[in-house]
Amino acid sequence: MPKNFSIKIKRYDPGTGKIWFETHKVPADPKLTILDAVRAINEGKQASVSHRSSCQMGICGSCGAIVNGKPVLMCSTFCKDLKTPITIEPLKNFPIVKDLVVDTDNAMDKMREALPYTTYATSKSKSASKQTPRQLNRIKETSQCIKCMLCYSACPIFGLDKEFIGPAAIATGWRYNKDTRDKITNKRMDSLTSKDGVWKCSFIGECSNVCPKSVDPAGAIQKMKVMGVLHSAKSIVKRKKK
Amino acid sequence: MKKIQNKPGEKWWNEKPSYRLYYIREYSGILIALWALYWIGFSIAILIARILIEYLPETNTAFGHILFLPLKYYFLFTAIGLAGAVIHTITWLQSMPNIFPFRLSKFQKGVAFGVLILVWIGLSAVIYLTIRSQL
Amino acid sequence: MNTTSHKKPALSKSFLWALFSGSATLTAFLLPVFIFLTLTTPFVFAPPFDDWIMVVILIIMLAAALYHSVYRIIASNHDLKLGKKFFQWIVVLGGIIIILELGHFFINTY
Repeated sequence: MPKNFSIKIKRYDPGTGKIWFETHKVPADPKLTILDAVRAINEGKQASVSHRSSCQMGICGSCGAIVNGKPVLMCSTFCKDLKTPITIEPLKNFPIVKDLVVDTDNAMDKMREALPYTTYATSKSKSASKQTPRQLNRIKETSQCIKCMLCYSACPIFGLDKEFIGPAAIATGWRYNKDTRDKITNKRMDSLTSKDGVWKCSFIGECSNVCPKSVDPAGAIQKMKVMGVLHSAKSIVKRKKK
Repeated sequence: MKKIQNKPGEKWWNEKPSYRLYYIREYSGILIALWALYWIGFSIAILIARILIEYLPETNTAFGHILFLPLKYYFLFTAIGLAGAVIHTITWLQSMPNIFPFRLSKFQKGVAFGVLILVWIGLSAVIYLTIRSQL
Repeated sequence: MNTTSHKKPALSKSFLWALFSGSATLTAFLLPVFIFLTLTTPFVFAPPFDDWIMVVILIIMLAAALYHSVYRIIASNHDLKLGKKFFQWIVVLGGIIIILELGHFFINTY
């Protein structure tokens, strides 16, 4: 391991509109994460690199950034595992607010379109919401999503077409459709199979490659396409009956 | 506060191996489309030639030369079509385990892909041998 | 942000995708052996157009192959503006073939 890690950070100043790269050296440590390195740069060099972070343990999904060309969580990526100089940039496909902070409102709105909730709480049932281990297992993988937006950053289709609902929204929609307590599957499917929904996905698969929680949104999207075809067929039959 | 857009670059498709593999997969469709268009042209040429031979046997040799033009490129376009078809088959069968309605691990998806390839080879062998035996 | 508007399912897109998925699966399993048969059997000398079953099979395979490949090309175009580039390439290649064939024809005839 070298004595120092060379860190190159992409900076953006919204006041002047200036974009530049800054290189800093951080003392090497086998336990040093990218987030630790950015904090060390801010503390030691007063560089004031704006960034988001919270839990520092890969749970909250706040600290997403592009490190050496790949979208990762900064708190879960160790400097010793990367080629130097380590390049840190803000997430792609989102407007940059300042330095490593991006505006993810568009993607968050897309998540809401997937109706990410069950209606059990509003039903009149007084009994506890019970699920068997097998029923829980069906939604376990897609329940791990921490809304870190790395999949949106990796998806070139979202980058080129901001109307696309996106991988995390569809994976979340799949999770709630497969939830045995859910009663609004049809309404959710209407949203996910609209013109900006699942049909825009070309199965590039990069979203599953970058997901830090192994949610496999690409697989969920392909399954949702099959569900979408069946849902559309049912819609046509229902319309004809009316 | 002025935010700047952060769109994919012009050559985004060349930035990562997965993007390049994606385009190889999708553009196997071009090879198949070329083969299909060739066969449509070939079939039309054969049908016109048969009609001419049947009803206008004194047809000018130049016209006959043009009609049999597709025959010269038969093996070229068939090879192009076969290459495209094989790439399409392998990449499509690789994606198929993703649409199964049950969850599979990466290893299980690999096994499913292997099984699908064996089914494809077996089915192809049966069809080929059946048709060859009838010719 | 609007969370209350109800979106309608895109029925045409789901139908087109279902057709694409079906044709791609059909061509994935059958097209390679079909093309191999046209290469290794006497089809090149005597295409079996008199047998109506073979004609139906040929039409189905060509339709499936063409539909799924055109769908793929259109779906993967994104921002690459490839339509224009493809058109230019096809015109250039077609022009080269026509010039070569005309030259060959005139050399042989005259």
